[in-house]
Amino acid sequence: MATDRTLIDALPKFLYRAEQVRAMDDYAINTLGIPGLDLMQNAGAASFQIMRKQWPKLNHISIFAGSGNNGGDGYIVARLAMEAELTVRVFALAPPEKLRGDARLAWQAFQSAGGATDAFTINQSPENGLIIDGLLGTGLDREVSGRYADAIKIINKFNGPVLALDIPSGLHADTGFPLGNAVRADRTVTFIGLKQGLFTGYGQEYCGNISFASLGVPLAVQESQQPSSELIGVDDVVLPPRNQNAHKGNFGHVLVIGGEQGYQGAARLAAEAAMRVGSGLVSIATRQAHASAMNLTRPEIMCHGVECGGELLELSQRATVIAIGPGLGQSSWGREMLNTIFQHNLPVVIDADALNLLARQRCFRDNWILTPHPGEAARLLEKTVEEVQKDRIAAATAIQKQYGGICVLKGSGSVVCEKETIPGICPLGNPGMATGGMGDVLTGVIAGLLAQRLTLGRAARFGTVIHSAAADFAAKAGERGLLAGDLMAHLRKLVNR
Amino acid sequence: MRIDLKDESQTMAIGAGLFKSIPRNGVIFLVGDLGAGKTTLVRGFLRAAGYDGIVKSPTYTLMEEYTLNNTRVLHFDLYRLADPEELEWLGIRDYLCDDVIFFIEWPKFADEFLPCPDIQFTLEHTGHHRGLKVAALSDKGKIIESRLKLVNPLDKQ
Repeated sequence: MATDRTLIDALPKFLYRAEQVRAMDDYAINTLGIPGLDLMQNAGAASFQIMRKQWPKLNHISIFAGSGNNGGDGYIVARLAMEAELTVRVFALAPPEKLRGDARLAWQAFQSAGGATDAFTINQSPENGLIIDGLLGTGLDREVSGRYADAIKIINKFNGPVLALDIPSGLHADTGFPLGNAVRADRTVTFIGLKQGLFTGYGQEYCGNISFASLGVPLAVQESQQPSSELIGVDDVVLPPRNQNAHKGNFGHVLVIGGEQGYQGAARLAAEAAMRVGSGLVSIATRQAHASAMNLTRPEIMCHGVECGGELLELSQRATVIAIGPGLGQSSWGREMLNTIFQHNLPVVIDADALNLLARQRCFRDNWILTPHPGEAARLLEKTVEEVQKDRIAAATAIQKQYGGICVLKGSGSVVCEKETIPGICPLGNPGMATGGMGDVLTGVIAGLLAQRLTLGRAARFGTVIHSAAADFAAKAGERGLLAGDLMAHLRKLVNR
Repeated sequence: MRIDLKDESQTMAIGAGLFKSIPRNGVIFLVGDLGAGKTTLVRGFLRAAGYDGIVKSPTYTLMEEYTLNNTRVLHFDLYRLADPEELEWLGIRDYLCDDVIFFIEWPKFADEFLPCPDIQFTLEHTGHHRGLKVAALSDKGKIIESRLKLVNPLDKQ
């Protein structure tokens, strides 16, 4: 095998469940006859390569090796590191003589090269260099306890960088939820197929940066499974250039409904976001008392005081898309506004308090997009937030089934679910987005894209990913102190590429 | 590696075997006279990958493109290439760093403009006899060839 070539592949788009990646592994070994040790060797070599590339000056490495194939990958890295004359310590969670199969062969090769292992005890902890996490792989489905939990705690107390093999130990490969204890890695190299849990919920937080190594398996191996979900990219949609003689009527009219007393900013942010992604016209329907003040600093937005359903119905005649929820409140005014919307058939983006109201009514509709955060999702499903976060893809799928249309479950690794389409996962975004108004901007972005006649599915996916991409650009000046309004200029760039 | 091919279905089977041997990227040169079965081999590859649309020779279009879940397949026929620069207009360079599998018929018409081949399939057709010669041209090609032997695509024929 060529050694100068990179063993790391570009991140593919498609994601799989752990059992599917195991089936690929099985197909490669048992149907195509590729020796399992070759795959393990490639996994170790790819990991070693990326380790040297990212941390070229760290010459002291500590490898935590479990009793399965993940530990086997670790022994390959250990041998390669020794051959490269690095200082290597291996902390074995299981006596290596008890290893089986390819992992045993990997250990034997390490041992023949002169390598030694230490049995792991809680008193041993590496002081410097770098840790390789080869404790637990993707097969894990219950709480981590005992010595493995101790080892994970020691790794997480370590000051230096941590590289996880295939998946951070303790993380659930399908849901991205930590099983009691999980390793917080700085980088994770994952093999053969991307596991969906690496990208949603706590996945990215525990994985750090994610690299992919296909291990050079035949294309047939990867194509042997239908993906369970896919990553959404900012390049998935390109908006067409505008015609020279275009007029504002070509790009739709978003009506934002919300902004109860004290929460006017929410509706205003949604409206501006809709304009910044290119909606032809944007109106706000809000409480009479502050309607005239709301567009003072953004006169491009039309602002109407609306106190009853009849007035709203008349106003909505001119709209092509409704966005309801930002700052709507749950009082009688908000309820009347939402009930009025149910009377006509425009595409709707439903957010915030409109979702809380919807949770009590349980309506079904095909042409709406629901954008709950985990708390709202929990209310929609009558579950706890933890239950939602424990399996975000399942939660988003359940909301889509129960309420129809499209569900965008927000939070790290936003999940977009649409009928008869595999869920999309947004890999972008940052913790700076955890501030008031950020969700209102998303509502406006999606509504503004709908106004320009993107289908519901495309508007939901593209809106979600450019919202996160804009936040990542804006966060270059620092995550702390990032404001929802800081996204506007970046959104404009992202829809004009 | 040399293989005797009885009929077209065996050429298809070689294509299917290649699907089980090649990673998500690679460059395959296809050599052989008109009617030797070059496009048939590509069709066998794509059928095995689950593609059930039309697979036709890119004799006049120069290039046909197919999208699979994990890669793209570009099938070139350079027989009618007037000037290798035409490849530049097709944007061949843009594809080089991606996950792409190249099948290139008549590579001799554009030698230095092409990516380095990993493996070459030479299809011979003399009288009633059809034969295939497989030559690995890179380390990756050697892996592909050894896996192709392992898969033994004509075994189940």
